This record gives sequence, structure tokens and C-alpha cells, in this order.
Amino acid sequence: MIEIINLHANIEGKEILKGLTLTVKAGEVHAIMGPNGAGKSTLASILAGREEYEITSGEVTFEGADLLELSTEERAHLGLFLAFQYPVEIPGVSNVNFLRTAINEIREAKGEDSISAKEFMAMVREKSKIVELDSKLASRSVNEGFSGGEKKRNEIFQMAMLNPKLAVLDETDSGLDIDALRIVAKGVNTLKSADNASIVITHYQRLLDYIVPDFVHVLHDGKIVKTGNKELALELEEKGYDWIKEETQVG
Amino acid sequence: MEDLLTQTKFDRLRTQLNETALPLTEVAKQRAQSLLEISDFPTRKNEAWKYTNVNGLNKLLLNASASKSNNKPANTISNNGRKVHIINGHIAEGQTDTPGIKTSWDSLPERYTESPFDALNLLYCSCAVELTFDDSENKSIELVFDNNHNTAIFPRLFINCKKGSKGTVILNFQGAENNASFINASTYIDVGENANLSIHKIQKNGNDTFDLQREYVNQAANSSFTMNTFPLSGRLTRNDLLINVNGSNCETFMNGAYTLKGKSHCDNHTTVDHKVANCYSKELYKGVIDDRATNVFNGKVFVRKDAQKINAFQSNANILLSETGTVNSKPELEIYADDVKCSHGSTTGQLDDEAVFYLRSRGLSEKSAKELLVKAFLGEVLEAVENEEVSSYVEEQIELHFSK
Amino acid sequence: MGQYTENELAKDLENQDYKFGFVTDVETEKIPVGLNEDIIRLISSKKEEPKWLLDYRINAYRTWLTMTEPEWAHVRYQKPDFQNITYYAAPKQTKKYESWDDVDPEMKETMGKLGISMEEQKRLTGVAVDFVMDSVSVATSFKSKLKELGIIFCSFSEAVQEYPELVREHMGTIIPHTDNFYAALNAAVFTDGSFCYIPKGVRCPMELSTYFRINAGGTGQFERTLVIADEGAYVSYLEGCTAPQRDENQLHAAVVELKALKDAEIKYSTVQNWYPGDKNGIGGVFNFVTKRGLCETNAKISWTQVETGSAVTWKYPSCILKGDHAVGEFYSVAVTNNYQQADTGTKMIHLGKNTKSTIISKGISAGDSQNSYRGLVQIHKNAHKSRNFSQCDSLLMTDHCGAHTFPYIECKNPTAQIEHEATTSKIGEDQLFYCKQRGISEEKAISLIVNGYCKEVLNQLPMEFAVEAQKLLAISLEGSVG
Repeated sequence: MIEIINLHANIEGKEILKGLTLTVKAGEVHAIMGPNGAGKSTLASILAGREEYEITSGEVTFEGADLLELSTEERAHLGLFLAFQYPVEIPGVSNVNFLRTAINEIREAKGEDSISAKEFMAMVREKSKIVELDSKLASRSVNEGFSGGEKKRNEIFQMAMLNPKLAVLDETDSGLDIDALRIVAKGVNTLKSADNASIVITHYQRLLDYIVPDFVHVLHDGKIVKTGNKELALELEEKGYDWIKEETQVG
Repeated sequence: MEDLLTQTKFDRLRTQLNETALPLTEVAKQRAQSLLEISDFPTRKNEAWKYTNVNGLNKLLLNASASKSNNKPANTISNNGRKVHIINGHIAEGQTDTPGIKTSWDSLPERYTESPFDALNLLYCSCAVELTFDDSENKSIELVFDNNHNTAIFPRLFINCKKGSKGTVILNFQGAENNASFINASTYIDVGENANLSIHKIQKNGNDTFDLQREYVNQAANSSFTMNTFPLSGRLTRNDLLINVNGSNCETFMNGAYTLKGKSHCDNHTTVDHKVANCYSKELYKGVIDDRATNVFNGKVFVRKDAQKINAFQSNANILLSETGTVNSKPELEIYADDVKCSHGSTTGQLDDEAVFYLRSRGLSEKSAKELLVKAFLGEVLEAVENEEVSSYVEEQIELHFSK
Repeated sequence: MGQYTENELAKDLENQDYKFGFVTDVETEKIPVGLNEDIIRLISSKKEEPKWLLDYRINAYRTWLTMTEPEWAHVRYQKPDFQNITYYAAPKQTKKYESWDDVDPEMKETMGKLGISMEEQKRLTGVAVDFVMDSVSVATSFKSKLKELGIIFCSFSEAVQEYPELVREHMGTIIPHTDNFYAALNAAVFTDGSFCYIPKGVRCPMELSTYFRINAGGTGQFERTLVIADEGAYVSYLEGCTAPQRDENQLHAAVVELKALKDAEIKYSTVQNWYPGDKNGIGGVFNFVTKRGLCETNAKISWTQVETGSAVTWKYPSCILKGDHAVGEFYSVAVTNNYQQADTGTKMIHLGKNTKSTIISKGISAGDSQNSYRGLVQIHKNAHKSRNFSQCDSLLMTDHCGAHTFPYIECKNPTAQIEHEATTSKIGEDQLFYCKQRGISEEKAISLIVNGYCKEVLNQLPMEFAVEAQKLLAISLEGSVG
């Protein structure tokens, strides 16, 4: 699915990723954990193609293509989806219109016909149930006036609508209460299949009670310093990140 | 004898004025003379004077032989820090130059603008003071303008806050209650690189005083400049504050609070001209207008081409308390760069009836309920004033304004 | 919302250049170039006008001679040579059409290109169209239906002939010929326009629509529109314009007067898409328009405009809120690209008690254009408890265009409440990135975001206009990314 090899990246001259390597195969769920400032959100931004970051070395192959050569929208056309940590508000643009435009652009890129209005609306009804999103929210402007929880649910709703190959969830759990967390996790789990994969970026173990990862990676100082299974997440929860920092310094 | 018909209003005004005793260069004199010859008082047709008429200047009777001393000097605002006393426009007797304060001149600095009032100030300058800050101690200097005669008060001020220095200036204009003077001040302000300068201007003028003031500010890179303006009383007050932000990474703050009553007319014109990128400016002017008073606010934000990443905010709020008062507000944005965040807001209204009712239901009289709300309204400006002596002085004055 | 299909937009996006730039080859009858009292007499006699109207014109002309062209607006242009304009051009056929079939096929084609196929409109939308080709009205439909209700909707010339008392009573009462330079010029030389009268208590059942069009080369267009809604009446009036591509500048100085009597309501919507000049700022229409409405007690006037065309626009649709409880609204989207210049806004004059006004203005500047909002909110002494809310937002698309805001707020009543807010910013990078991450191309993302940004205004337009306006916004901003 995606292969990241020895990725180095800077922002405003400061090195954030210092040789990150990660491979994700179809059907897998990977969790990336780490202390604040480790580079977790940078990884998500780089994968989606934010231009502020400068890639100094490394490779990223996604679905056989050189990801770093592609524009943001081309990455989306190939099936990369980023659930934003802070979804932006777009006043005056309804969610429905927004998603229909997105779906049609993706279809066009693949040489497919546009979605019919009927098919589209049926899909909206079906997918909004997954995240228990009020159908009224679907007709409101993108994220405008949404609560924190609604914004995150809307991200998962969009993910359901766009049906990506690889979903990168950037701190989707931050700012969520327990009910919203459960709904978001349920959405992610429902959408899981043998053909797609996800990378769940989180600071806390909490989300991983609901989305059970196949692998847990610890990101520290721009590198993955430890990889394990979900037990590692529990260990981190219990002991915090300091021991990892010490371990890497010693190592 | 000049023909009355061809006389401009400036010509008539000039017959009442005494030429400056300060040393001007011939070039400066010529320049000012010729500017005045082609100028007349601005009229409504002049966009910058659309709401302000200065014809009343020619009704003033200016007494040239005003005293340079005062037995009961006006109150100062700062306790510590140095002071320069200026009585009826002239440097008080006994004032001597000290480092950072210059009041005696071999030749006045060659600084001019295209304003005829600036030219007038130059030709009839009653005193010139230069203040220099050259260290990071944040020294404070207060200029106390003690005006008790009906006369022409034409100060020409130069404030220089040098590279990396800090300074605070209080311009304290105090007029006797019935004073009918003509104050016409020009102030040239230079804020050097990494410098930090705050100016607090109090205009507590006599009820018949005309006060026209201009501040020309140049800000160099990484500097911070604050101008706080408090027009508290006077027949007509006009302030033109022009700030050129010439260097990047600057901060500029403009605050104003005004309390107008009687027949006062107050006009604050501000321009902040962002010529380069990465700067921040914030402006907040608030006031209450009572009786037959008029307030004019004209704030302009310029963002020049290529001056990217400018954040500029401007706000003007007015409370109109009387049936006969007038509020004219004109906040303007003129933007020629795209990566900017600029906004302005202007509100005009009255005190919240609900709030007045609420306070009365708690036992406050209507008058004190209103006073409390007005003070809270102006409080936002005073909170932005870091100098506590100034903010508490203005607060007292607002208190007094309502007790009369 | 579903009305806005991407296919339609994509089709339009293919046409890089001005979509409606073509010249119709209809034989036109012109009078000599230039302006003097004889020319005015000639126009008046050609139109077989009554003497009072000729006197009105001559009087306006003499006033105009004493006036100077206004210079306060934030626009720069080569002043028109008023002696080098033909003040009257009429398509040659003088006979009025009885039915749609009689209309010159070439003219029908023109309308086809404009995308306003009249048959279609008649059949599908129930819009009565008064099509103004140059200065003479050539087709009027739905007249009989309107007539049943007592509604008069005809060309201005026809109204002068048929309803002289009505015209004489109201014309020039809201915008006197002394009002400004261009209003005076219009009063002197106007050739045609539209007239509309809705009788007491009548709610006009359909949107009334006029498509203006400048056609003959070198003819300025001086339209005059008068809409009167009598007590308790309601009308929604649409005006849309396109102009053919030309190299020389064309002057347009229209006058629009609205009168809403007690309890009446007028909704006036405009989509303006005249030739803006080419990419280098050559050519394009000068649009110097005076539009004003008067609201009596409890009446309401609502102006909605989408301005995407013209080289220079100078336009301030205003409301005089004379009666108590009168309501004025102004909703505007102004898009400028390349070297276009727009100085537009409104005046809300509050005279009556409890009057209310709302101003929503969205300016979008691209290319090397200059886009200014200029507005006046004036609360007079007796306008107790009046309210105004203004929101003026500007969006900048490149680093070499300009967006300016010049609001004037004047208040003389302590019970009034005025709120003005303005923002200027560039299109949100975060919003663009979000759209792109979902697979939407930059061009489409901009169109989506800009349309969203203007939603509050576009929502005010009748549906068929809203769709057209959205497409116009996308076309106008083509290739505008800085």
C-alpha cells in the first residue's frame, strides 16, 4: 500500500523528520504514537502534500506511484485520505455540494462517469448513518459552526463517502468526549476491509481501545524508535514516554 | 495694506500671530511661506476635512503677550521622570537642557510636510523641544503644556527613540476652563530599529480652545510604537496621526478615548501605512458624545504592494447620549497586497437599556448606572494603556466629566 | 444547491475569452455624432415625445453643461469624449412585433447566444422579458397576462405615449436631473428603458425581467428605468446585461428609479456582465449608473447585484427610507479581474422612525484589478430606533490587485444603532488545501470557495439568476490565481 523509506523533512529550516521508515500493507491498521513535537502531525501533512514542508531525502511509494511527485489532489485521486486534526470551515459551501464535487473529480481522474444525483443522495443517507451524523449537518456548510465532535464525525463521514485506500487519521481523538470517540471508532472499524489500510496518529492510548491496531509505532525525534503490537500502547499509557526517550538516548 | 478680497483665511489668521523667535533657515522659511500663499483653510470639499470646519479660528482673539510663568502650575501626571514645563506655548523660565532634552536651538531641524498648518507651525513656532531616548531603560519624559492665556501655542516637537532604546513620553495639555487658545502642534517621531516608544497625549483644553495637532511617525524594523490619545475637552480638537511603517516586523498600537459634551467637536484622523511585510497594527478608538458635541473618526489602513503578511485591525465605537449630538465614522482599508488579514469595525449606538435596567433594579440611580456603563465602555481602551499613571489620570477625568 | 452542476461549469470554463463577445448585424438607424440641443430635439421628435418631456431634457442638458465629471471615486480612466458619441441608435424596423414569430431571426439568434432563449423562458419559467436591443424595445411578452392584473410593464417610450401622467408624476422625483453629472446626462439624452407599475395591493405573480444589451458600435446607452409599486404591491424585477466585445470604450449611464409606496415591496436584482475589456485592459464598458429607491411607510426595497463585467463601474444603488418602519437592503457581489476597476456600494438614508437597513457586500479582486466598496449610512435626527448592519468583505486573489473599503457612517440620533464590519484577506490556504486533499482541483476549489463566500448574496437572487451568477463568478475568476 504505502512504503516510506528514510524520510527526512524540514520546516523553516528546522529538521522535523529524521529518517522515518514505515511500511503499511492492505488490511492493516497502524498506530503511530509519540510525545508532543515528535513529528506525528508533520508525517500526516507530508503524506497529504502540504507545501510548507521541504523533503530533504527519502522516498514514499503509494500504490506503486512516487507519492512525493504528486500534487495533493492527485494523491487524493489515488485514494489517500487525511482526517484533519483541525478541519477547516468553508462558509457557504454545503457539505453535500463539496462531497459531490470531490467524488466527481476523483471519478473523472479515474475516467469514470459522474455520480448521479440519486445515487449520490442514497450514498449520503447510507454513510451518514455510520457516524450517526444528523442529515441536517450534511446540508450545512462544511464544518461551519460544527462542534469539535461534529467536525471529527464529519471527517469520518467524508472518509466513508470517498472510500479511500489509505486513511491517515491525525489525532482524530483529540477533543472528543467518550461518546463521540466511540462513534468515530465505530465508523473507522465499519469501513475497515482487506483492501484498505489506515494510519492512526494519536497521543493517547484511549482511541486504541476502540480501534485495535495491528502495529503500534513510537515516533520520537523524527524517527520510529520502537514498534510493537497493541500491548506497547498499554505500556506507553502506563509508563509515559520518558522511558522511550531515555532508551533511545542510551541506545 | 492688502486687499481684503484677496486675503485668504490664513492671511487673516496670520495678522494675529507673531513670527517665531526660533532660528529657521531661509530655505525652510521660504518653503513654508510659499505653501501658505497658495493655501486656504480646508473646506468640506476636501475629503480629509469633510466633517470639520476650522473657520472659527479667525474668531479667536489671540493675545500675544502671554506670561511665561504661572504661579499655580498645572498638575503633572507622572510622579517620577523628567518634566518640561511649557507655559502658554513657551518654555518655562529656568528650564535648561539636559541629556535627552533639548529646548534651545542654533537652527531648527529641517523637517516639513505638505500640510499648511505645519507650515504655519513652523513660521510662528512658539517653542521647539527635542526628546532623545538612547538606552533601554524606558525613561519617561512629560511635557506639561500649561495654558492659561488666550494665545497661540505652536509647539514643534521632535521625538527620537534610537536603535534598541525604550522611551515613554507624556504630552499633557492642560488649559484653564475658559481658555480660548489656538494650539497648533507638529510632532516628528522617529522610532529606530528594535526601539520601543510609547506616547500618551492628554488634551484637556479650555472649552473654547482650538487644538490642531499632527504627528508624523516613522518606524524602523522590529520596532514597537504606541500612541494613546485622550481628547477630553476643548471647542475643536483635530488630531492627524500618520504612521509610516518602513521596516518589517513592527508593531503599531493606536488607542483613543474621548468624552465630548457641550459644543465640542473632536476629529481623529489616523493613517497607518504598511509599506513593508510582516507587521501588525491595532487601533481602538472609543468615545461618548453628549449635548451638541460631534465626533469624527477617520482611520485609514494602507497596505502597499508587496507588503505581505500584514495583520491590521481597526475599531471605532461610539455611544451617542443626546438628541443633538453627531457621530461621523469612516474606517477605511486600502489594500494592495494579498496575503493579509485586515479588518475594521465601527459601531454607533446607545447604552444597553437592559443593562441600565438591571443596574437600577440593584439600587443604582439611573445616572450612576449610565456612568458605570460608560466607564466600562471606555475601560477597554484604558486597559490597553500600560502606563498606570496615565490610565488612572484619564479615569479620574472621565469621572469628573460626569460629575459636572 | 444541487442546481449547480459541474458539467455546466466545466463547459463554460473552456471558453477563456469573453463569452458573450459578438456583434449582431442588425441594420441600425443612427443620428449624427455629438451632443447639443438640436440632437436632443431630434431624439425627442423621433420618439414623438410630448413637449413637457422635451423641456425636461433641455433643462437637464443645460444643467449638465454646468456640471463637472465626478472624480472622487477610486477609479482611473480616460474620460469619454461626449461629443464623439452617437446618442441614438434604433434597429431600423419601426413596426412593433405582434408575436414572437415576427421577430427578426438574427435577433433571436442573439438571444440564443445570450442563453436566454425566449421560447424556453416563456414556457418554462414564466418570465416576461422586455428585450432591449440598443435603445428601442423590440419584444414584449406576457403583456396581456400582466394587463389583467392592471400591471404595466413596457418600454419607457411606450409608457411616455400610453401613460404620460404616470411617467410625468414620478419620473425624476427620486433622482432629479440635478443629482449628478451622469444622471443629468441621462435625463437629457435617454432613449429608452423600462417602465413598470404595480397597482395597489397587487402581488406581481412573475419575475419581471429585462435584458439590456449595447450593440451598435459607438452608441452609448442611456437607459432609464422607473418602477412604481403602489400601496401594498409587490414586484421582483430582474435586470441582466451582456455587451458585445469592442475595442473602444463604451459609455453606459443608466438611471433607475424605484418607488415603493406604503406597505409595498420591490426586489431589484441585477447580473451585470458587460464586456470588461481584454486581458491588457483595452476596451470595455464604462458603467456609470445612478440607482435609487424611495421607501414610504412600512415599504421595503431590496437591491441585489452581481457585478462581474465592465471596465469601470461606478454604481451605488441606494435607499431613501423616508417612511417609518421602512426597510432597505443591499446585497452585492463584485468581481474584478485583469484591469477592471469597480467602485460600488450603497447609500442608506434613514429618515423615518424604526427604519432598518442591511448591507452585505462581497468584493473579489483578481489580476491587476481594483475593487472598492464605498457606502454611506446616514441616520437623520428623527430616525428614532433605526438600525443598520453592514458587512463588507474583500477577497484578494493576487498580490497585484487592490481591495478597498470606504464606509461613511453619519449618525444624528442617539437611539439608532449602527454596526459596520469589514474584513480583507486572501483566499484561505487551509481551505484550498482541504479541498485539494479531498481530490478537488485548484481551479474548482477556488470556484467552490468563492461561491460559498458569496452565498449570502447569491441566496437573495431568484433561482435562475443564481445559477447564472454562479457560473459567471467561475468564468470571471478563470486563471486568476496569483
